[in-house]
Amino acid sequence: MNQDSALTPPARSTPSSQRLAELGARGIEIARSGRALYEVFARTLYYTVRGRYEPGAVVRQMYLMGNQSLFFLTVVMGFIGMILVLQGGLQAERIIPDPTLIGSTYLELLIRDLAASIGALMLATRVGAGIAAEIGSMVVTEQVDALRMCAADPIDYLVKPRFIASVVMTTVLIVWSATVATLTGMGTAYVFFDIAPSVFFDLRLVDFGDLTIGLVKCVAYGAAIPIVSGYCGLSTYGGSEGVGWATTRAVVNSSLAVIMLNFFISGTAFVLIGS
Amino acid sequence: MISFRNLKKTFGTKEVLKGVSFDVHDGEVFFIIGASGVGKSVLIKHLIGLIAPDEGEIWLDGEEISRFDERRMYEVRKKCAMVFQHATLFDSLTCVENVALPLRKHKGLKPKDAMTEAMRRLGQVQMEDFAHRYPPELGDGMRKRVAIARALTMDPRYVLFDEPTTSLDPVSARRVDKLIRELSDTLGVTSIVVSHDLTSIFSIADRIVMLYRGKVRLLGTPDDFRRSDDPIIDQFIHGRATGPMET
Repeated sequence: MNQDSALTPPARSTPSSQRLAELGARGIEIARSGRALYEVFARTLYYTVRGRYEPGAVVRQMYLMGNQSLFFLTVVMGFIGMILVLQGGLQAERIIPDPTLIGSTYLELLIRDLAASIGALMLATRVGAGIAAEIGSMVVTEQVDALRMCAADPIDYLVKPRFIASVVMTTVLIVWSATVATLTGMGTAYVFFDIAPSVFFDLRLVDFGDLTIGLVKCVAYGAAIPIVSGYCGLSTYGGSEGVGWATTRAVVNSSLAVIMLNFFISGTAFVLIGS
Repeated sequence: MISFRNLKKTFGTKEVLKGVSFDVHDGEVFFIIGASGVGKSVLIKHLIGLIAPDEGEIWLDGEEISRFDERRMYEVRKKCAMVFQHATLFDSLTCVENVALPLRKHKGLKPKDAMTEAMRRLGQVQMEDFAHRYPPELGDGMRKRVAIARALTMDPRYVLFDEPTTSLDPVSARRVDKLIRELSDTLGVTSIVVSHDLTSIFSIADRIVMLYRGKVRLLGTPDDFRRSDDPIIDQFIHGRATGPMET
C-alpha cells in the first residue's frame, strides 16, 4: 500500500461542490422518476390493449370520477365563464366600440383551450388526489403487495381502469364544462353588455382545427392525470404521512403535466396547421 | 428446500440485512424471530420478489430466484403464498371475491368456477357463512382466516406468515397456530412464520432462527433456544425489558 496516499487527508468538500453534488443527485432523481413514469405509461397502454378486463371496474371508475366531479366542475366553469366574459368585455370596450365580437372570440378560446385546460386543472385536484390517496393507502397497507402475490399487476388492476375511465370522463366533463361556461358567459354578456344570446353564440371563428385541438387536449389531459397520479400513488412510502405526500405530489405534478401538455399541443398545432 | 445465502439489504443508509444465511427444510414450521425493525418481514419478502436483495442468493427447490423478473416471480408465488400482517384483503371485494382473485389471475379460471372453488376454500377455514361480507365488516381473526384461505388457493408448498397472531385475541391466535401446524402435519406445507408471539413460537415451531443486528444470532430447535446461555437470546425468549439486547 502506498503510505503517502494513506496519509493524505481526504479532499474536503467545499460548499460549492456540495451544492453541485446535491444538484446532481436531484437531477438523477428526476431522471429516475421520469423513467419510472414512462414505464407506468407504457405498461398502462400495453394492458389497455392486451390485458383482461375486470367486470365493471372501468364503469365503476367512470361513475366515481364523473359523479364526484360534476357539481364541482359545473360551479367552477360557471363562474369562470362569467368572469372571462365580464373582464374580456370590460377590456374590449376600451378599445373597440362594438362588443358583439366578444361571443365569437370567447367561444373560440373556450373550445380551443380554456375549457379543456381549466377543466383539467380542476380534475387534477379532484381526480388526481383521489387516485394517489387510494393507491398510496393500498401501498402502505401492503394491499399492492397482496395484489402482486395474486399475479395481478397493480398497473393492470389499479391504474388501467382509472386511465380508461379518466380519458372518457375527462372528455365528457370538459364538453359539459364548455357548455356551462358558454351559457353563463352568454348570460353575463346579455346582462352587462346587452349582447343578445343569438349574437353571442356566433361560431364563425370556430373551425375544425379548434375542435380537433380541444379534443386532443381532452384526451391528453385525461390520460396524463391518472398516469401521473397512479405513479405518485405507487411510489408511496412510509405511513399516512407518505400518503399525504403522494397526494400532494399527484396534484402538483398532474397540474404541471396539464400546463406542459397544453404548451406542447398548442405549439404542435401551430406548426402543423398554422393556427 | 429454501436457502438464503449471504443476503444483504440496505435501505438508504440503514443496513438491515448484513449477510443472512440459513436453510428451511421441507415440511417444517420454521419461525423467524427478533426485535422489531430487525428485518424479519424484509427477509421473507425477498423470497417472493416483493423486495430485491442488494447481494446474496435465494435458492428455492434448487433454483436461484433472487434475480427473477416479475413475470418469472409469478411461478415462485404459486409455490410460495404469503399471509400478510394485516390480512390485506381488498376492501372493495367481498370475502369470496378476494379468495377467487388468485384463482382467476394465477390459474385463469372463469369467474363462476373461481367463485365455486373460493367458496370451498372458505369452508376449509370455517368462513363460508361470511363469504359475501366485505372485509371491513369482519373482525381481525375472521379477516386473517380469509387471508389464509386466499393464500392456500394455489395449493402452495410454502406459506409465509407475517406476524399471523398479532392483534388477535388469545383464542383466535391459538386457532391460527393450530391451522399452521395442521398445514404442515396433514398437507406437508412448509410454513415460515415471522412472529413475536412466544406462545406460538414454543408450541408449534420445529425450528427457529433469531436475527439480531442484521445477522443470524441462533438457529435451532425450541429446546436449543431454551438451553441457550446467550444473554440476548435469554432476554428475548423471556420477554425481559432490561438486558443487553439493543432494540
